[in-house]
Amino acid sequence: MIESFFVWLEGSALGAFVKDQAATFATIEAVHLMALAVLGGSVFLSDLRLLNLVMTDVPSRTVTDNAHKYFKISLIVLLVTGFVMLSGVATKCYHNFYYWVKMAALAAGILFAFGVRAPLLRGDHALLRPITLKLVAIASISVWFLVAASGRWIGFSG
Amino acid sequence: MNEERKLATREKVALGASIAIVVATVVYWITQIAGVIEMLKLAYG
Repeated sequence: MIESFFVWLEGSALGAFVKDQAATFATIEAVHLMALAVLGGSVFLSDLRLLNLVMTDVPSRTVTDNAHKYFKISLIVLLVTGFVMLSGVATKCYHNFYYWVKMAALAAGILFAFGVRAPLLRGDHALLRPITLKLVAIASISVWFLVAASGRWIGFSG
Repeated sequence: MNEERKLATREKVALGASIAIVVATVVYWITQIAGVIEMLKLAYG
């Protein structure tokens, strides 16, 4: 079922476009990596602020709220460009262990960011225990680091 | 009171999810590093 979708995707017009035009994949990957840089920047900025390591003169709520806007935009760009890139190498990715590690980490990261982290940080941070804020920040950095690392790993394996 | 309870629940969920993610990533990276060490031992003794 899942494999047949990947085979279909690679054989689709989108897959053919990405695979047959030499510069297409590279250009889309460049946009993907730039969006990843923005996402990484927003994650590091807000999580390092929660850990009291940067921008300690600015309220943590201000930093996390502003960073979350860039996080959402970069995540949308990442998902769109990621899907387009996948269409060119879908069958290769299907058989690649690190692709599935990345997808699992991405799913966990999205669920954590929108289901746990964002609702928690929407309120007054002073009402929260410091250990909670620090653990949330460490978990957030860990999961997005795994998404980025396993993503790069796909290119060097299989 | 109701808001306080909601916040406490959110905090508990956040703590549980964060611990689960941190433990899972630590186990993953330990497994990966152990695999690399094993491969280096096989290659160079």
